[in-house]
Amino acid sequence: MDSAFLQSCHIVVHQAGKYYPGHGGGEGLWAVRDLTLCARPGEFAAVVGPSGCGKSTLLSLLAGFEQATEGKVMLEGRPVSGPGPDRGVVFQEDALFPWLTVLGNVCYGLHRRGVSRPEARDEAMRFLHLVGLEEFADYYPSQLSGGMRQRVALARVLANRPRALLMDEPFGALDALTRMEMQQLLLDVWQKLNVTVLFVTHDVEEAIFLADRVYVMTARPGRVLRRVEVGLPRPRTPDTYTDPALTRLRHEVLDLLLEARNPSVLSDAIYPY
Amino acid sequence: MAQPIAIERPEAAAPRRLDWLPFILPGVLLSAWALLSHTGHVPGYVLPSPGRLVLSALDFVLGKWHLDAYSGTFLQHAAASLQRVALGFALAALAGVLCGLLTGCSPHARRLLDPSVHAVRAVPGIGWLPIAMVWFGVGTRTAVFLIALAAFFPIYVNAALGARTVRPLWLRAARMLGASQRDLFLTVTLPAGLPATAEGLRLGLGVSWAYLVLGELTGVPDGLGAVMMDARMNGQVEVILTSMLAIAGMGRLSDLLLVALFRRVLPLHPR
Repeated sequence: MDSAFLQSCHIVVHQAGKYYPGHGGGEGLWAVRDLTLCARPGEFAAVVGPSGCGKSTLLSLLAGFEQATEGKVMLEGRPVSGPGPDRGVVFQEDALFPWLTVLGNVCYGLHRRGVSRPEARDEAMRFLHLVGLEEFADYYPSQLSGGMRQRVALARVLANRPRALLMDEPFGALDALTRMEMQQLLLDVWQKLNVTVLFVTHDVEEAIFLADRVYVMTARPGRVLRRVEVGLPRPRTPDTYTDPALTRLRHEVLDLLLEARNPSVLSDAIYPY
Repeated sequence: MAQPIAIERPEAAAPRRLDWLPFILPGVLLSAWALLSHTGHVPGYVLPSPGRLVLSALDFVLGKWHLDAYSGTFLQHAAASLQRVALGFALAALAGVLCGLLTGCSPHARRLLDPSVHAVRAVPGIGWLPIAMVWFGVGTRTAVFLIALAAFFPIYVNAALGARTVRPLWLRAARMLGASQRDLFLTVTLPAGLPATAEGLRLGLGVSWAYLVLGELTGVPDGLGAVMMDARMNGQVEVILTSMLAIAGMGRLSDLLLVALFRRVLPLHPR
């Protein structure tokens, strides 16, 4: 893997593996092995794969919650060593702090960095405005709907101006309509902020709708089976769903997913470069 | 037994009408009591009539009729008791919350503190009375020691529980947002463990009032517990009953104040 190529990647995962030892002398398992992918600066990359393929482990490694057993996990050419605001994570479940208001949650990262109260408040309000929730600044998370809470989670992460946005099936728990609204919001915000996004999902259509490229992972131990380029025009709108190109891509990815579950395919995995 | 603090929802208020059912039993007992006293079935030195009790209580507080040696001394004794409860509870709260939270979030602290705490807890609080008197003599210090010791345990146990049930996801999110280890404790574990800790504090307060009486039975010069023992020896049954009612009332009032304080500090916190 040449360094010139490395330079062009914002997020790099190279032959990464994560091994979990077994309990009490039992057999351990490799959640991911020989996993390689590259996201360019400002790109929207999606990751899909069968259940248990290690998508969440991949995200965990990039976020720095876990260390890779082998291989490299890097952001902007530097290895990832621990969690931090430069890699913002939006979790699938509700990770907002229930004892803080919406404003308090969004200000949290800023306060940890020592930003003064008035400045932090202004910044937070700016991002709440971006996600359309500035009126709810003084509400508590328990008073909001699921969609609104994920919007707060997004604002909370973006307020720290992350270099990369890591999202772990963030819209999985939402109803179809709210999910579509959130997808649109995410795209709007992404275009405005120009941040690199890695979006993990099990929803193939969602992945194609949102992303520039979709990585299809194999079953455990997960590695990348193929990278699919999504050439759909931007900005993506609800009309994009009816674009025949999207349907073709969906078939392509679904076929790949079927292959991904078939063990005989693993030895033929093609490097996605 | 402490009731859980209800989560307030803005639209929840039900129309206020007095529920008469709870009053039936006390009403019946009160009537029976009045009857037994009036007919002389129960002698006055065992159970005074309700009328005498009310009179004695009023005199205890106001001192207008000088019925006995305690006339008008209520405030002084209540204040003494309150001071002991406050001091003992405060000590227990400080130690209990700090140690409990530490135990809950650090396995090392848990291995260090837990076994010893539970060993000490094996001795029932009342069993500490004799040795407390040896160490602290007869006086306020013994009472405060007993109160603090007894109240410590429910506070410690519940604070530990609170810290242990902090969701790992919150800790992950906080670390992702740039929190240091110290930040994690102060800004996540502490507030997250607060509801359970609050319950522990309520229990501790209740225990404090119970052990107040024990502590004052040893012969302190003032306090409602001391009055009770003294009045027993003088055959002043009304004073005993009045003191009991006073302690109950003050205990309940302090509990309401504590709950009100928590409501202000812990708004709309789901468990």
